[in-house]
Amino acid sequence: MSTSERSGEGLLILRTEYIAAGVHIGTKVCTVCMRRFVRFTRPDGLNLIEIAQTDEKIRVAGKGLSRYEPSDVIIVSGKEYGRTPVLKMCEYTGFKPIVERFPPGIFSNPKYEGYISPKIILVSDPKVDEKAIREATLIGIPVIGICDTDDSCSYIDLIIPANNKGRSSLALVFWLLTREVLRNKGVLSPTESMSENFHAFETQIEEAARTV
Amino acid sequence: MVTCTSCGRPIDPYERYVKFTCFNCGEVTLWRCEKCRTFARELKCPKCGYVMP
Repeated sequence: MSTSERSGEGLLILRTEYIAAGVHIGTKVCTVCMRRFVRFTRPDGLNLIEIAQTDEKIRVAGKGLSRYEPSDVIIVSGKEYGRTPVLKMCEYTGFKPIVERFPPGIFSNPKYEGYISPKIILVSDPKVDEKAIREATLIGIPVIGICDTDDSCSYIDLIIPANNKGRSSLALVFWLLTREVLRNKGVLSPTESMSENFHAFETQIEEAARTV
Repeated sequence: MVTCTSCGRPIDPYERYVKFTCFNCGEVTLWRCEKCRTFARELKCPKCGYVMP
């Protein structure tokens, strides 16, 4: 049993770890569909996300993803800071990553060389990965999205409300998702954790600068 | 004809929709019409009561 579960709060990790990674930090803009996940707005206008909601959605997303074959799940991230977390998650779970430019027609054009037909996709930012969402909509597959307070929730079937702009935040969310998937698949026991902590999922700043 | 789990409206065969099993319980197949997806309308699993998105 994790420390947080022992403390009676029932979260996947300690609330302080979520706060330290900045998972709860939103933006000054808040869309209507994301209003339900906002805990409160700071006097300076910054919206803060409810951590319990993030935790619950990660748990459910982990359950949902674990029911699919690894080859049927695609994880898309066009963000610099989403690159390493996505690759690490795919390394552990066997899911397929798309971290470079999203190839048009990859889901919808059977004549395309690299054509694949996934059954579910996970996107790290609905704004950046808009093309992936549009293609998933064309072929009618569900989309799980990590949404910040300023993101549109159109065509997202499961929202994970979290800060998708921070390096640590993205790393922690993907690390927790990986752990949940592995626990639900039975690779890890319900109390076991992975050998690496979430800092291993973080994109290094030098690495991000090199790809620019 | 299947109906949308969110709004209860029948989904036309030519309409875009999505079909998936409930992420929480995995026992019920949920259908969402394009309009409900566009407007991010809530849907509730009839079996476990989990509210998405």
